[in-house]
Amino acid sequence: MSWTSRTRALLSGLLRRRQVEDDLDEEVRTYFEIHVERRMGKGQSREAALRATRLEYEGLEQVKEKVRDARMGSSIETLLQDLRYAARVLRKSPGFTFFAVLTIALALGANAAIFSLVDGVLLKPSSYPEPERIVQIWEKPPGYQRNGVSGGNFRDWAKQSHSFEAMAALTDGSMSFTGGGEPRSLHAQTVSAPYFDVFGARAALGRTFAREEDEPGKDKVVVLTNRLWQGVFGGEPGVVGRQVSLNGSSYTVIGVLPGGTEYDRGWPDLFVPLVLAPDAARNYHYLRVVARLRAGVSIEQARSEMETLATHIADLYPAVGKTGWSATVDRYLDRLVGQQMRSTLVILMSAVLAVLLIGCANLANLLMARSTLRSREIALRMALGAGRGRMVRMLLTESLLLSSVGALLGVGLGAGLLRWIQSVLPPYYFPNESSIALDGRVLLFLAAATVLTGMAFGLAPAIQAARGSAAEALKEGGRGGSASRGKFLARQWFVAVQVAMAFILLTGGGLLMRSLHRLLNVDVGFDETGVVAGYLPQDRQGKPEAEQLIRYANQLVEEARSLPGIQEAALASALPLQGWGDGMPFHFPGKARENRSIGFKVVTPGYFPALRLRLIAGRVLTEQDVAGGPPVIVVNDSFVRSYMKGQNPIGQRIVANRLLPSRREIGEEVSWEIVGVVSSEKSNGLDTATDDGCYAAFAQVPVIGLGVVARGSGDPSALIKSLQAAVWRVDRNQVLDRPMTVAQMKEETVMDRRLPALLLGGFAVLALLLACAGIYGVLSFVTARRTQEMGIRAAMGATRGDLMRLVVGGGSLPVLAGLGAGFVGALALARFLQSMLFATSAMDALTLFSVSALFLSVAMAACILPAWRAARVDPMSALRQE
Amino acid sequence: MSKPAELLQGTLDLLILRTVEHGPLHGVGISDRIEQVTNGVFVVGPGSLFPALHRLADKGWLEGEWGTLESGRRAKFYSLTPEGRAQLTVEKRNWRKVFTAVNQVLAEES
Repeated sequence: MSWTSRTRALLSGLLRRRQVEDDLDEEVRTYFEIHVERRMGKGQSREAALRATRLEYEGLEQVKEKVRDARMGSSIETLLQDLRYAARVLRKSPGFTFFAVLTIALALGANAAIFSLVDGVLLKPSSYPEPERIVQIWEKPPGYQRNGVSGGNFRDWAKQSHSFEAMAALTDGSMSFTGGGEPRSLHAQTVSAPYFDVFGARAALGRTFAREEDEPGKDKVVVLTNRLWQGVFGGEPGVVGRQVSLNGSSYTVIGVLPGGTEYDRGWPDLFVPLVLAPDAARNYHYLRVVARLRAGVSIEQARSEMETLATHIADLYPAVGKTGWSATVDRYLDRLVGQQMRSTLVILMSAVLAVLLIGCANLANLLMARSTLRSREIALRMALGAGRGRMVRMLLTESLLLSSVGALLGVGLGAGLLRWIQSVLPPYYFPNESSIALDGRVLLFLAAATVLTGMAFGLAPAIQAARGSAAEALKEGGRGGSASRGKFLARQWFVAVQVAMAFILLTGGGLLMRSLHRLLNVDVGFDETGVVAGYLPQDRQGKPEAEQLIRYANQLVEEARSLPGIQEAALASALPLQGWGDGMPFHFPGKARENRSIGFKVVTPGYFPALRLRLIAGRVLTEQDVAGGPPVIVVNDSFVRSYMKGQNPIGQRIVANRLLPSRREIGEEVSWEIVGVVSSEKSNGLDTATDDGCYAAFAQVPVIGLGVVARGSGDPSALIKSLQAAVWRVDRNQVLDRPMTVAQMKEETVMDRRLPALLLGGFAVLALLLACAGIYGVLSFVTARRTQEMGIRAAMGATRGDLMRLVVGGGSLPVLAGLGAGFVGALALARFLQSMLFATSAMDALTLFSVSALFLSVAMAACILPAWRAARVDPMSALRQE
Repeated sequence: MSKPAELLQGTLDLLILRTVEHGPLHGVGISDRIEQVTNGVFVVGPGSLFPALHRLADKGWLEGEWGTLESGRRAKFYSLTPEGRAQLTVEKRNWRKVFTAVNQVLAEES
């Protein structure tokens, strides 16, 4: 029977349940009919005959039911028989069983972990009610799609739009929580009152914000996440109504959010109302806006309403200078997962599936080799009358048993791998909405994968075993010769495919690793060794005084500088590698405004020596750049390259608005004189090519929302501790938030690249090992069967070298073919990977070369080992085996 | 006709296998044949016949095939597979062993 018709028979057996039922019905009915007819032949009427037959026997249905029971019983019985037999066979070859189970456990474990990620991030539906009605709204400057929203515009949008049931603005920050003991920093999301209505969320305890609670005077209320309630307040139900001290003000706890939801996975620990002044500025864009569409309103309708509205607002306030600005409306869920993360997950999922396939090919190979060895046993069983179907079922039971045991181990491995991935990634890497867990859905996927793997690696050998002619196998005496030529070819194919897939994975992993390596060695523009930094959360709601801020900053810097072990300390409006803090539109005096913006960082003078930013021209900021003095600015090298190539920047001016202390609007236009040029500090990620930015003196632009950086020697954790103490000496309620070394910050910024590189690299190595095991397995098997031939050749005068060449030559053919195919595949994959690579070409010669070299040498080792063993064979003993 | 005897556990399988040994038979044919040969000692109703037939077929000892009766009616004919033939030999041997042993016990008694 051919391979295809055998498969078809197996499949139709599964699909023909209905047919079997009909058959049974007809069969039993015929039995009854014959008896009825017999009685009618003796002169009874049909009715009488029917009645008598019914009396004599059980009813049709009861008989059929008994048949079904009997079949069920017998199929369970044979299954148990097969299982017992399979277990016995597997116990007899522990080496094979161990290898097979390990292969499956590794492959399925990797699949379980990665599928959990894919399922949690990409597939699982959101738990928000009617999530398709939630949208995100942005301001749309000319030439860009999305920009943060200003307070003034948000107020108008919320008041004037009709498309939305609820609209809310939000912004993040940290708050100092002082409830006795050391102050601690809590992540706060400051939101408009309708925020929870947008997401359709209810409090588990108490309530969420009432409509008027984002108005001044009514806003000292706070909603806690379940996480915070459990962690800090001990899950005590009486917390609702309690007063807590945040940023030195007293807030009333009004509610606790439900546990285990996106709120518990999110960044904020608590939610406080966002209060917008009636005259909130339109030129400082620090808000994000979310909204829920009114029922029946389409996103297109909302979009066109918002565009009209935003354009109208821009025209109403020409003084703000936002001509041409509009609005963008996105479906919220569409914006959650970026293209980068999507392709990362797709690549990882493909990689683990490839590993699984390689593993399957390996096992199919091994099982085929075994079934050749066992062909005598199989032939004997078939000669005794065992049906082919039965033999196939027996072998399939064996492979399914293997894959099930492997899968059980795999679940454990997968859970471990998943926990590891989650522990390495920064907590807010995946969107809060994604709930990643090795749950029922994943287990279901795993169960399906298990059955499919079992079938995949069990079917081919089973069919082969059943196909072979019993008589021929017996004649061959289990040695196999010409008849196994086809099997040998099939196995060579397997090897070639394995090699190709492993090579593709290895190239992908290699490219990502190389790109990561280059990224980590990128010049960050400053000297990061010995630098620690942390944020200083401040109350963003009040109206701070400039003089007070400057005094406070000076005290902090002095206190930090006086610490032993700290060489330099400074304040900055954004920490190294954490963005510029503010982006400012600018133009050159006397020239037309263009759509240009520059990173704008406010620093105390110590910032330059603390980071050891290299001075390229002019001078850095000093204590002499004071409040009343001429406004000066230091630009970076990247800015000069972008706009002032070939000119002397020193003494030139740029026009840009001044930041105001509250940082909720921007002040008047100022003509800043460029006094110096420094090396470009990487702020917007290590992979950015241009990072145009400038520095203004804190004394000239005092603002809230600061961080502290300090350079010191010695143990960074001790440094952080003494920095913290210094901060507390100035202000007992001031928290040092997320203090860490700048080296750690750098690690954090590359985590989204490190993890896929590490995982893909790991999977690639696994694939390589599996493929080599496959090569080795096939070759040693083939070689073992050629022992006799080797003996004859040796007796005829072939040297060891000749024999080894013979084996290696035969074995390397599929390896080379696989490498060739893999090369083509790798190029295709690399094209897909290109967007994830940094300063690395998809055709990176070194990667391709080293991966090929690695592969060839490992593959050759896998070939040479069995060849060497074969060549050592003593000709006489080999011949005697006859 | 005396009351039909209770069948010994497992005996029905042997009877069926033996009954179809010389050629395919359908359900009624099998039960008729058993009744005839045993002079009415064993009467196998459909409630035990069909489950046994299907169990034996699942074990691969019997093979069922649809054919036509003289009356033109379609019926399923059962015949021995090679494996079933081997099984019949085994069961016959076992039965003789048991039969001889039981007879010896009975002979001792008298």
